[in-house]
Amino acid sequence: MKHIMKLSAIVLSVFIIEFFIERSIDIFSTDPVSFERTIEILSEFFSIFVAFSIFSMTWHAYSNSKDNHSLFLGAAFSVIGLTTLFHLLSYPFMPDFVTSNSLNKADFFFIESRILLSLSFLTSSYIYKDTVSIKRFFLIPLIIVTSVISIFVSLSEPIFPVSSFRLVDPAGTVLIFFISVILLFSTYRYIIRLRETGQNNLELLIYGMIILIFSNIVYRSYELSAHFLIIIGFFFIYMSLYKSSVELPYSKLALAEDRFHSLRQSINDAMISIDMNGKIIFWNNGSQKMFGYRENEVMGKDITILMPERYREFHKEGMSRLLSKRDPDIIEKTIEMHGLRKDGSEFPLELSLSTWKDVESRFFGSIIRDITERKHIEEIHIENERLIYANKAKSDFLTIMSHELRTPLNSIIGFSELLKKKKNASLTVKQERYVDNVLTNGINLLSLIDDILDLSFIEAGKIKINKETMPVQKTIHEIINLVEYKALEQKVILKAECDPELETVEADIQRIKQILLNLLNNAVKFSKKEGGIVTIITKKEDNKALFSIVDTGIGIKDEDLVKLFNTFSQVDSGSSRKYGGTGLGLVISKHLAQLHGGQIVVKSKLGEGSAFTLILPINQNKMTTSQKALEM
Amino acid sequence: MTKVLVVEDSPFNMELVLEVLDDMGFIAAGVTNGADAIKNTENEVYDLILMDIELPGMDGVVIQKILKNNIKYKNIPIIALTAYAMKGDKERFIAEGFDDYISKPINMDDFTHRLEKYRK
Repeated sequence: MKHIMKLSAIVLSVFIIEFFIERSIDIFSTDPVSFERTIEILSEFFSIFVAFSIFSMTWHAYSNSKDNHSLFLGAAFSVIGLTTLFHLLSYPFMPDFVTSNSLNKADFFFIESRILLSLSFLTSSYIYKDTVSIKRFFLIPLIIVTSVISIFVSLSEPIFPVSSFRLVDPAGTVLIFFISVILLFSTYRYIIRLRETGQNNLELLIYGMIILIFSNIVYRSYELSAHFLIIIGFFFIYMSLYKSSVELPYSKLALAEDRFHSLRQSINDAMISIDMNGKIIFWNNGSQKMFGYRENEVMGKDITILMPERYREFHKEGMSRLLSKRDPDIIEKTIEMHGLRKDGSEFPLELSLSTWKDVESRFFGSIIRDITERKHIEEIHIENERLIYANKAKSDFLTIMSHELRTPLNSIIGFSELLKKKKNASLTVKQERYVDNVLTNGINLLSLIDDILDLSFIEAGKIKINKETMPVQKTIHEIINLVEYKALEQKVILKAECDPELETVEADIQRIKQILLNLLNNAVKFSKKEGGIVTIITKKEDNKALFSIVDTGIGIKDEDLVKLFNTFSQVDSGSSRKYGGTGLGLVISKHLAQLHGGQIVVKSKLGEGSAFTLILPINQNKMTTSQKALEM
Repeated sequence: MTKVLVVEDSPFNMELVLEVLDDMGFIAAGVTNGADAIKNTENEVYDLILMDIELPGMDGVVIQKILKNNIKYKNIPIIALTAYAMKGDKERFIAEGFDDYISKPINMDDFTHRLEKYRK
């Protein structure tokens, strides 16, 4: 309804204008005919002007709009404009145009332009914007051929039975009707197209077409109004095509630019562009975050303020190389270098360059990423690799050392034993003691090797704790059996006081034996000869198992207690000679206890004795067992 | 009489082991590499082989596998006698197919005790 109202208003106003013009001619003009002609010439001329404007606009906008529909209509309007021009030139009151002018000839051109118009719209209603883009060049011959044909047809007008072609004749009426039907059909197609695609510019096109149909209808009765309507119709078409071929592409471009702008402002990477003199011409938020400069602080400044001194010379060389070459090879590669922040600090960055140019100048754009974090991770990775390698080398070395030390020890210990056991060896007492010394020291050396290897593996984190249920009393008795002979030798009394409530502990039996044996051996070793007492006490406290080994030995000074668990520290250097051993045993024991989630605690009084207590969690799998129960 | 073949490249350790075996009343022969070990096994019937691991040429594991893969010798027990005595080594050699494992340096009592059961 709204549209019909609008169109009616336009048509009505045109008629009112014509009415007033006719009136004013009647009233004021002394020569109504010539005045009317002037108006007619002007209006014809104006519609020609609009037609050519349509052509020139769509033609030039095509390189950006790629709108085939507009381009075709534009090209059609060039021919329409041309035929309308010839129509004007063929009026009898104009100077002869090629052949002698007549109303008939003018009408021929007019009819021709109407036919072209309607056929063009019929065709264009089948051309969509998003079809394959074409080369404008191929339209030129088409325009020329169509123009030439239409000129020749109209100029050869005398061949046809002219009188029957006059518009007032029935033939003319039929022709106008036919043209209007084609236009109406095209309009119908455009209305459907508007409904389907919602392209607003088509609305104006439809207005234009309807107005043109009106102009056709009224042409015979109201020539002046028809001319005005043609101008208005052409103008609507012009507006429609302007929208589709200029405004739409431009607003799309603006939208894309808007999107891109917000993208590069919100991105965390820095985006910086410079001109060919190295002056900063673009600076995004990411750049501000990365370098600490605000946009207004760096615009127009030299890019080198963002680089540490050592890069600047290199940058200048690079720039001149880039500018001298047509296709710079640095472009689109990633470069790692350092950036300089406003506060003077440096950071590693990764940079990729792009370049573009306008008519007189070349520009460079860069996307910069702060790779501090990545570098850090890389360094950690390298360090890890190195550690893994070092660890492997260490463990290879230990394996070889172990093997190479044991091989000669086999002979040393083996032959000593042979010598000692052979009944026919007939050694003197002194010689027998020598053999004993070799054997004892060989065995000491062997246990030292074992200790060192153990410790190395613990420190390399290669010891695995295999937990199983350890029966406490049985284990204690096994250990006592192992030390009994030695205790007997030293005349030290071994006692055990076992808490009956402590039955089992979840632990690696071999490792716990190793700890307790070490503690027990130490206790016997450092006990007073003859009459020394070593007591093993087990006790259950909450969820903890306590294994105390108490001796009545020489004791340890308070200040020495802390040194006790350090690698290679016997309490005083003299004692290693006196008591043997390396002091590694306690360090290993401490580590093994920790691997069990336990610890070793020492209490000691100089001259009275020491108490070493191994504390272990009784049930370390308590959590997992209850979880298992839940799962079941 | 129990016949034992000792494969060992260190002359000192060879002498020691042969001496101990002799004391035990075994008949012991020694070779220093894999090729000789295989040749000797072809010519003589042994009741037991003591095999060092670190040897020139083929190592003890390879020699053991060659012998065990031969239907004629696969029933001869082969004991690894080696200075590879780290945690897990025993399990490793047993898994490779050795019948037993004795680490160096040998403990005389343990050694003689372990070999007793191979006496014929």
